Amino acid sequence: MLFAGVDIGSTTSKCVLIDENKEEKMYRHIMTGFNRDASGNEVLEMALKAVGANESEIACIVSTGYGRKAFKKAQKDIPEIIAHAEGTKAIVPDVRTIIDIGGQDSKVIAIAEDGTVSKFEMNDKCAAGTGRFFEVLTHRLLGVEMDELSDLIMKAKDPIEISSMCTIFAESEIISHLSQGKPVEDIAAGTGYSIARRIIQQGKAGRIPFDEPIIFSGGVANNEGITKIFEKLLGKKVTAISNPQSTAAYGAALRAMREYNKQDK
Amino acid sequence: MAMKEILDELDSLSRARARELGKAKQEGTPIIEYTGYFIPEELIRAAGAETYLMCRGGEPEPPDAVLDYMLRFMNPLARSMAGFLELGLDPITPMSSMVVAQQTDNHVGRISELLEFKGINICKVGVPPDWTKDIAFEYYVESLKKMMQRVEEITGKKVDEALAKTYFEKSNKICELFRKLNELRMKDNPPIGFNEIIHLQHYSFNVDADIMIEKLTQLYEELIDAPGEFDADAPRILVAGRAFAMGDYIVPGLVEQSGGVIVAELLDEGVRPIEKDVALEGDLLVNFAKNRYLDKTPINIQQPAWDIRYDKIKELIKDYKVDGVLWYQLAFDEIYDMEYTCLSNWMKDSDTLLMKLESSYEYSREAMGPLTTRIESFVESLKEGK
Repeated sequence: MLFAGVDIGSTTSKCVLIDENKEEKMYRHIMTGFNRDASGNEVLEMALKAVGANESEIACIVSTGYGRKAFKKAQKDIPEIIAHAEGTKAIVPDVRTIIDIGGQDSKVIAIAEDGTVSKFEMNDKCAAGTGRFFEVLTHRLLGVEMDELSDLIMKAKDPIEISSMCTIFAESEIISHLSQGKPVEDIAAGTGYSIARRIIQQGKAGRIPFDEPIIFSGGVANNEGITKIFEKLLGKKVTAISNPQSTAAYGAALRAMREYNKQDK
Repeated sequence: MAMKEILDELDSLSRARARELGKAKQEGTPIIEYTGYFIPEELIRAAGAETYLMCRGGEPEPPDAVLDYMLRFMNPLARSMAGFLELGLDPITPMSSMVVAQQTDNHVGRISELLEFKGINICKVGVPPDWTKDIAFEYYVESLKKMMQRVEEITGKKVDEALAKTYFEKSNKICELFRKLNELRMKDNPPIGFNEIIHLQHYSFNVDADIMIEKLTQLYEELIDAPGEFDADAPRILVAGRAFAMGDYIVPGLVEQSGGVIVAELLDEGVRPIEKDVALEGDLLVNFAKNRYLDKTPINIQQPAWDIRYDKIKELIKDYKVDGVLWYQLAFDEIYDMEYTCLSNWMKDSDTLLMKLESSYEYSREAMGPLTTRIESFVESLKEGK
C-alpha cells in the first residue's frame, strides 16, 4: 500500500510516495506548468513509474503547495506550512524552527515543544528572500549556475553588502559592484547575506525566537554557503535537511497515511 | 423563519436603503452621513434627518482611486470613503447634506480634508485620544454639540428629545439582542458564526429599527436551541482589529471554509458597541458621549488603552474558550501595528496562538493564494493543538 504526497509549488512540483511503514519509496520533481492539475498528475505518474507501481496501489493522496486545490486526484489538501512542519518533524523530531526558502516564497515556522506549529511567517508578494532572488541576481548577472553558487560563496573573503531588499534595486547595486571589478565571490556572498537577513527579519517580525534545532529546507538549502551564512547571523547551528525540496511532499504523504488510518478506524 | 431566510430578507431591506434615502431626499428630508459610532445618529434623526453609515470597503479599486490626491500610506478603509465617490460608485454622498466624520486618527483626518476639497460639506467631530482626561471628554462633548447645531441648521428643526429617547431605546434593544446572540456563540458548537453576525451588524445600520428588532428577536428564538453550524472540533477564534467594513467579508469566509469558527470579536469600527446601553434619563447627548468615550473598552487610538484592551481580549478568550486570536489589520494602519507588537509580546508565552493578517483589500487570484495558505495554516495548527 502506498501513500502519496504531491506538492504543487509555484516553481516546481514534487511527489513523494511512502509505504505503510512511513518509508520513502520514491521522490520525483518537475517544473510546474501553467496547468497545476496536469503538473500534479505528471509528477505523480513519474514517481509511480519509477517505483513500478500504479495508481490503484495508492490508498490516499494529499496535495499541498499553492496549486494544492487544483489537483483533482487528491482526497485532501493541506497548506504547505503544515506539510513542511509534518515532514520535517518526521525526520528531525525535536525540530523547533524551520527555515524554508523555495523558488518564489520563503517561510519561517516555529514549532512548539509539543510538536505543533506555534507561529509562522511567509513572505508576501515579493521575490526578495526567495530562490528567485538568487536566480535573477547570481545566475543572470554573475553567470554562475545555481549548483556552483555554494562553492563561490564559501570562497568569499569580504562579502559585499547588498543594501537593497528589492530584487530590482539589488540588481542595480550588483551591476555597479561588477563594473567596479569587485570579486564575484564577494558579490555572491553578499546576496546570500541579503537573503538570510531578510528571512531572519521576517521571522523576528513574527516574534519567532529561532530556537534550536533549526532546520533549513527548500531548494536554496542545497546551498551550503547559505546555511553557513544563517549560522553566522543567528549565532546558532543551522542544519540543511537532506533532500530539502521534498519535505513538504513528504509531510503531505504522512498526512495521507494519517487520513487513511482515521477513515479505516 | 430559518436563519438564511431572515438574513436574505434583511439583506434585501439593507440594499433598498439607498433608494429609500433617494425618495426621502426628494420629499425634502436631508440626508446626513456619518463615519462611525462616536456619532449619535439617533440624535441626528431626531432632528429630522435621515442617516447613513459610511463604512464601505473590501474592494481594491476605491482606495487606489484617491492616489491622485494623496500618498498611499493611509489605510484602505479610510481611502475607500472618498474612493467610492471618486469612482462614481457612491450613491449616497452626492445627495448628502453633510458628512459627519469622527476624527479618531490621521487617516480619517486626511480623507475628511480630501472630501472637503471635493466640495462635500464635512463636519469634523473631534475624538481626542487621551480619554482619561476630563478636558478630552469635554472637547468631545463640545464637538458633538457643535455638530448638532449644524444638523439643526440643515434640517431647520430642533432635536425632538422624546423621539431621540425612543431612538436610543431601540438602539439599546438592538444591542441587547446582539449581546444575546453573542451568548449563543459561547456554546461548544455555536449555532451562528461571525459571517452572519457581521452581516447583521451591518444590516442594523440600514434597516428600520423596528424591523431589525423583530428579526433579531425571531433569529434569537430560532437559534436558542438550534444545533451547531460547525464541525465539533472546529478551532475557536477571536478576531481583533480596526474593522470589517461593509463588503469586506473575504477573510471571515475563508476562516469558516478552512474549518474554523470566529466566536468573538474586538473591533473598533463598523459595528455597534454593545457592551453597555446608552442611559435614557438626563442629557441624552452627554449620556451618549459617556457611553462611547468612557463606558466601554477603548478603541486602539485612545491612550492609555492597550493594556485595557488586552485585558478584554483575555476575558473574551476565557469566556468564549478561544483557541487562537486573529489580528486583522488594514495596510498602513501604523497604530494598530504598534498595538500588535505589544499584544504579540504579551501573548508570546500564552497557550493561545496569535496570527496577524494585513489587508489592503487586494483579493486578486495571486493574493488569494498566500492569504488562503495563511488562514488554512493557522486553522490547521489550532486543530493540531486542540
